[in-house]
Amino acid sequence: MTLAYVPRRVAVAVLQILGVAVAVFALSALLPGDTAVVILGKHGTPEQIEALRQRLGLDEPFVRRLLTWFGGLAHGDLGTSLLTGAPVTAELADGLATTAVLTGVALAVIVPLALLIGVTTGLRQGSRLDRAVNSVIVVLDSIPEFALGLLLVALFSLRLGWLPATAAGLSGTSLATHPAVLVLPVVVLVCKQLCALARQIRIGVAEANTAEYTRHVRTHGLRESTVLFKHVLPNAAGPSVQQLARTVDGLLGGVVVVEALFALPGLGSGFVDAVMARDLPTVQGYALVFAGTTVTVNLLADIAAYRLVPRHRSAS
Amino acid sequence: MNRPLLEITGLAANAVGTRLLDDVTLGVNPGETLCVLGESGSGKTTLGLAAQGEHGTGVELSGSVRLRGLDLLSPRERRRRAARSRRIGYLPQHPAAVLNPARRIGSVLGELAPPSHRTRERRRDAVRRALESAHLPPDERLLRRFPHQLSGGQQQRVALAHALITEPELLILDEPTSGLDTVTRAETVDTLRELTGAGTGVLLLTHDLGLARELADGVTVLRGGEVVERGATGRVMREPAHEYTGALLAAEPRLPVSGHGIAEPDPSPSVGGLRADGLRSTSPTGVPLLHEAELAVPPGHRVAVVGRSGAGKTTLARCLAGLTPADSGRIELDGAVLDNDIHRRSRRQRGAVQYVHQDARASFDEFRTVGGQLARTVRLNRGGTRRSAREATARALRSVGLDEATHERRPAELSGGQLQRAALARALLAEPAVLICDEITAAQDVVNQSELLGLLREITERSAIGLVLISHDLAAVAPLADEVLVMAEGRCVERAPTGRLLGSPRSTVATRLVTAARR
Repeated sequence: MTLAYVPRRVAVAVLQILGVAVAVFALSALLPGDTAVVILGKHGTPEQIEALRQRLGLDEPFVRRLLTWFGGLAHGDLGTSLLTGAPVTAELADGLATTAVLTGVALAVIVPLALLIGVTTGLRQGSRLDRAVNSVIVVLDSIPEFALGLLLVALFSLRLGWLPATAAGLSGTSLATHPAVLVLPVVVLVCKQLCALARQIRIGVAEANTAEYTRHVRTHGLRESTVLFKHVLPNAAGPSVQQLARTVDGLLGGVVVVEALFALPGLGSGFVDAVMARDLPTVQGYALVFAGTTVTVNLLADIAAYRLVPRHRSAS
Repeated sequence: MNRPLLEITGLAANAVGTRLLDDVTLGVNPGETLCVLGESGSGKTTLGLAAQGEHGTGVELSGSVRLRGLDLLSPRERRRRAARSRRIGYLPQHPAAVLNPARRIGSVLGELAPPSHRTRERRRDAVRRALESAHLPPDERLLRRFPHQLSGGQQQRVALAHALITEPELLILDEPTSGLDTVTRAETVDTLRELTGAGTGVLLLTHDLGLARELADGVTVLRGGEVVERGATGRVMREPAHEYTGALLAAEPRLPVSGHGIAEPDPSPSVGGLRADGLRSTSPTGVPLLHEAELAVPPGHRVAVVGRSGAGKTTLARCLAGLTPADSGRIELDGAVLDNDIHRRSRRQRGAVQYVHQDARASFDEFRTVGGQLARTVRLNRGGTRRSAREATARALRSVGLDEATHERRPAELSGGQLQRAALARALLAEPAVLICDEITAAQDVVNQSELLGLLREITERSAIGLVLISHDLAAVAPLADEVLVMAEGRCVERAPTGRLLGSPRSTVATRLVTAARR
């Protein structure tokens, strides 16, 4: 007997996260450069370096370190940052708020906007509006985030002076009192991630709108609103939900660039800092959070798509 | 005299460079059935769409189509919609395409019910009545199904229920019985009679002469987009004025009055061939589809598998071919056991059992030439050079009556009948011991149908290939079959030499099939 789809898919996701955890740990351990050397700088003597290596457990065999790390993970302990000495979980929690606000606001703009653009152009496939919107989207999609960010800063901050160019000096908690610093980062994220989602929705809507089953209910006199909401959209929904998962993925990649660009104290900039400092436990923590989010979002999207496309349910 | 319900005058339809319809004039009165007879490719479907003011992409309509005097070809979409609003019910030829894959059967039917049914209960009643008129059980489980969970015949009846639930003044039916078994077909005829009795006008587009005879008040014969003959049904059937009508009538399959005249097969049980015992199969959702089905096809023997739609005929065929692995049971070919799953059969074993699909168009890749696709079968099975494969392909195409030029054509350039022949040629190139034909004549007009069956007879007579003919149409396959296997609800209910079955059917299912086939 074949196992039901949802439990099987969840099991796969759990394996994926485990695999990612091992890979992340192994990769960071294989990176050239030694944390002890980095911490002590050029002036550390070989004896001091050796002592520090022992204190940090860096001289233990790989498998043992991996097992210790997993043991901690099971208790929600990701170790302590080599740089600050604070628990890695606390570092993550610091950045999380900023990044969650940034991606949350971006998503809240992207989803309705993509729906609006996708549905209107999909229903008027080939029209002047459709072609115009499509051209704009292709252009937007092809500008890299950092380039778009710099352009916007040059225009709105430096030339016009309407919006702050950077959040430097602000902590995560004070962002709430300065919402203006979020505007440009969100705009950059939205412009990039909106495109693929709007296009996917447009294709799905256009296909369902010209399908024979749609023409059939139209000729039998169904109201246009019923045709749209009950016949066209349900068929466009499955692929669009999966594209939405890819959008969230893209946002996570995007925040690394955008936070670095605008000096926002989030997960992205924290990740970059940790990598630069070879702060192994922290790098591992960040990688785990990013990978875990990706796996979870894709899991949810797959299950949603599975529910939305009835044919999958008996085909699998 | 009253104005006709539907009035078509001087209708022409043009696709890029091709004339699909030319100067077609006809009228349908309330309570009247007009049958438009024609082979596939005669323009029936274009006419059916035009009669509701619709057309395929790239098709231009001219002339006049009026429904109760209102213009259905008005360039303004709003006006067209208002003119036909809920007055027309349409059953297309390929009903699967009009069922929304993402919606449950019941909820779409509920939406299509006339808006005058305001309450939930009244809607549900309307749905129930429409399903009953379309001869589907109005039970909750069917209403909660999605289109892909239905058999081809059930999909056709759901589409008919779509057309009926709107309570239309005009019903346009494009080949309404092509996927129906003989019993359901007879029931559908009764339903349509009731509807015309209540004042509905019916425009019936079909190649089924029997259906025309039973239902139509008038017949219009369409050929190549032109009307070649029109008149009262009785007159046209008795003394056709046009030679084409005569040819159509001559090609119709007729069931002999008694079992005599059909040769009894050699009763000695021959060894070898395909045997299957105790086949069981269950759908992914747990519905049992086959119970202990069995079948034997000695070399050169022709077995027809008949039954109502949903009886398990296709499941049996797919189990034999290994496409749907049977849950249990044993399949043997010439004494050697075949695995139930095609993936665990050797290449030789796969070639030995060939399955030909009902929908030839779906079984070809639309982007590659027919010859290229056939040659691939040859090279997969026998290896050899490109040239030798090409020669074998050309021979195979000739043997099914297609010319050399077919080799370079793409599926879209061939008619349904020609493609079905090409599919047969492809199956033969695999050098099969058994050929399984699943309703290969169902979507064909009478001329194509009799030619295809003739071709199958020729193939089985000049070789030792065993034939399994899956069909809902006993009348069509009986003349060819040595033996008939009757299926109902996943079981083999009766198995007998054709002559005996037609003369004295034992089970009630077989009796009903034989009676319905004689109507």
